Amino acid sequence: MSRDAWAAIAATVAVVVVALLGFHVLGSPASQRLVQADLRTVHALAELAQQINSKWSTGSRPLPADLEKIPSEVKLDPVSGKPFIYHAKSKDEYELCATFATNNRDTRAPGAPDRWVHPKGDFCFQFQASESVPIPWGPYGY
Amino acid sequence: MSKPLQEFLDAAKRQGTSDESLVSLLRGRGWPADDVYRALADHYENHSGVSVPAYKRSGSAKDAFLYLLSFAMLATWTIGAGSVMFTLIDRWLKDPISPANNYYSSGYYQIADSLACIIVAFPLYLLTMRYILREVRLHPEKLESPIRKWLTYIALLIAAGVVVGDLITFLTYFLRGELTGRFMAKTSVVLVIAGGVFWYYLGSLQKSATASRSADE
Repeated sequence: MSRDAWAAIAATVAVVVVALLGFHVLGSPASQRLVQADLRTVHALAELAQQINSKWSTGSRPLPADLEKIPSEVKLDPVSGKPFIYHAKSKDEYELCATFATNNRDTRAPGAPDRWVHPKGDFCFQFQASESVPIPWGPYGY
Repeated sequence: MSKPLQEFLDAAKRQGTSDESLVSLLRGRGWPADDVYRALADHYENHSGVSVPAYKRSGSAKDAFLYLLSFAMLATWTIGAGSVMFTLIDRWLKDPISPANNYYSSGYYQIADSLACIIVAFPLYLLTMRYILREVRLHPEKLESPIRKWLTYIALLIAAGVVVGDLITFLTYFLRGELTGRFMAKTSVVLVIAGGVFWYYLGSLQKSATASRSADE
């Protein structure tokens, strides 16, 4: 067999191995879509928390019992179209709940903190109205 | 073609002068080689009634297209493959002190992009190379084409630049305290890819050199 044929075979084997490793980590387009959807949900939830905190910091204390004063488009999970669930837990603590399609502990950016880690299914993020809301990682695709 | 030269040639050939001595004779009187050979060709065309077949120039523009395309595809898929490996190495060998420089884009983003590069560029590269190699087999004189040599050396120059740049970057991270394992892994990925490319292309330039040498002998 010629040198060119050997080179072509070696390169093909190497490329196939690298591509398989890559797909092993990336997963299928369908599972990536779920990861993206959860990311979008987390970003919308963070946006809502920021609005609640800014209302709190401009003097509307204690926290309201419901989110009537927040514009309705901010209160909706853009992926499912359902509103986020809000519970005021004390005069300056509250939680926001949503339903997630994946556990993002392993899909988050390397080195990203635990603040926005959520399991699969229903989950509530805890917030302190006096603290600033950290920006979630990886808004990609937009 | 100048009439007197043609008449002289006809007369000399009638005397039985050999082509070699005619050529050196005319060259000695300052006639350019092109004119002499053209006159000789005209002479034989007139006497045999068959015209000299036209020489088909090998398509230099086509060669340039093929080589540039193949090198562009080579760059795309090798960089894609390297990039997949770097992202995987970052994931496998977690370094808690490395800055979360991927904070705003998890490794997925990078991997998806690199995989797309490989999937599109690698088959195109194989197809282009297959076409080029078949052309070279059918027309071995193309091994000597300056286009091929120039583009190959320029591609090797770019590859060498990329390799040196990568190694400097990795060494910088290493000197700043990055994990030794990461440094070694990334360096070996670059060396394997670049080594393969250099081995293949330097080897094929070598092949053309030996082919022309054996043709000269």
